[in-house]
Amino acid sequence: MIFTFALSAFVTIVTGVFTPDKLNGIENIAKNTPISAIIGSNNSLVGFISNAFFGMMGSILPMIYVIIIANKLIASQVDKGSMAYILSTPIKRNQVTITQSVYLIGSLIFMFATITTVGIIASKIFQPDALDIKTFILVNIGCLLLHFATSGIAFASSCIFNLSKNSLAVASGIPITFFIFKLVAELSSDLEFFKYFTINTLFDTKAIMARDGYLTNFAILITIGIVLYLIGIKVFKEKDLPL
Amino acid sequence: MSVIRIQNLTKDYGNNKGVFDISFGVEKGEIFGFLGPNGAGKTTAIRHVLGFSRPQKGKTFVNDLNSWEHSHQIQKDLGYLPGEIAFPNDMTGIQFIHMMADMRDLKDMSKANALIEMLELDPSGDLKRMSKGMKQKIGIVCAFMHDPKVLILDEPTSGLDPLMQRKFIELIKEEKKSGKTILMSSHMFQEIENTCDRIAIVKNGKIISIVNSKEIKNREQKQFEVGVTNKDDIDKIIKEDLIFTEIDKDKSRVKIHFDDKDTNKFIKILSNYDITYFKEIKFTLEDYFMHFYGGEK
Repeated sequence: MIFTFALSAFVTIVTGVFTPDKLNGIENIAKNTPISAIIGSNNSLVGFISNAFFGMMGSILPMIYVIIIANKLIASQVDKGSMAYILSTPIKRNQVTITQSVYLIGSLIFMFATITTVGIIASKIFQPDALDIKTFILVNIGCLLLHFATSGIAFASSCIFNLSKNSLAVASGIPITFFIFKLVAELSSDLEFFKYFTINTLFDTKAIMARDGYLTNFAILITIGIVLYLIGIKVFKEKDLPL
Repeated sequence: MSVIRIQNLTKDYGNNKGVFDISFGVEKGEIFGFLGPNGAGKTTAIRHVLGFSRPQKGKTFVNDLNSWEHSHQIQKDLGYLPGEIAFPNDMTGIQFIHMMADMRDLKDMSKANALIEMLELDPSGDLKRMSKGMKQKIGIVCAFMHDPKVLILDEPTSGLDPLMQRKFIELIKEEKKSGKTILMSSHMFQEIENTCDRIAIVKNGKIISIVNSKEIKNREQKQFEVGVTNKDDIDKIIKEDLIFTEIDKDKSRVKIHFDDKDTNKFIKILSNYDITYFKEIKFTLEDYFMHFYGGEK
């Protein structure tokens, strides 16, 4: 809840801040520095939100949320031992993992639905008609799918490891590496090949705005997420539990 | 037919930890005790019976269902009290009890309420703030409230005060009367000795002896400690045709071992002496246990 609230507040501020004048100002300051590559130059509200919001906060906060919650749902309960109580009822292991994954995915969907709604409302208040709503929704879906894939990593790791520390290490290590690779890839064209080593580039706001090939990216993200969730569920069903 | 059956169960965790080729069965209506020090493998065996761990070799069954393959089915009629209590932090005791009841589809809370009353438990507090004993009581309520036919209790009285331990033993005996099958582990001799029909002594992951508790209580061999008035008598008495297990000349006492059938002979011999006191040294489960663990202590 706190995460959703913080992100909603942030998206409101971002929409409120945007005016073409200011944006040009920022672009002028940033020109010829590596930051310009990150901020990008796109003279539309969606473009600005995509970069300012989804590029940084919109990526990091849900990622932290996913890492913490995924660990809490399975690994931490095994680590502490409270999973023993759940499994000493006639509930199957699969039921446990499926319920927890539905919760994780559901809460992500809720989070992004809220952000989308708040973003649209905020833009109506601050700058009527400046927001391309359809693109904005697509960008949100893209970001949701990226985090769905990330949550797959965190969930699988939570199912695989019996200790919270190991689960957290893997669940945070991989997505953070991906995030850094994405930043590196954007910094310079020499390092662009890094984009092939991260799933974060599959959430490509430019492609979405250009309506160019983004569906393939979406499909890949969905597949990664589903496969990882299934791996997690399967591993948890088969493994020895120290309860 | 055994209700709980363990067949050649082996699980090697390395460093001599685990269980190695253990087999036994617990019959319907029987209380079976698992006695051994920490790390002997009691909990490991229980984990397998509940289907939390997959055996490396061998099989475990509850009601003829394989524990690993049908773990959710065996839980329907089984109550489990874990040895290490770990509750979710963010709820109160009563919320937790109701959550467990919901997960079991249990509507009838009369047994739970009776248990709460019997244990003098106030479950309205936060689980996080509860003492070890209170948490243990919550665990006991959760294990017994659905009136399961099979109970698996891992060190059930740890954290309970002596009065509660006694109440708990009464509870166990009540459950036994209503035909429950109980497997419990403990390192407390008294609670095992007072409740169990048969006792397995576990050492380094192996069962080294299964003893019927009646054999311990009604042993035909007795040991008596006898005190005499003067030291000269000691010198004389030790020449008698008796088996002495200990002779203490300074304190003028001897310990004598004899079979029930020799009781008359024993009394006749003693009647020739001036006896100050005379008491039986009861053979307990502890003595029996120490017989196996003696070398290490």
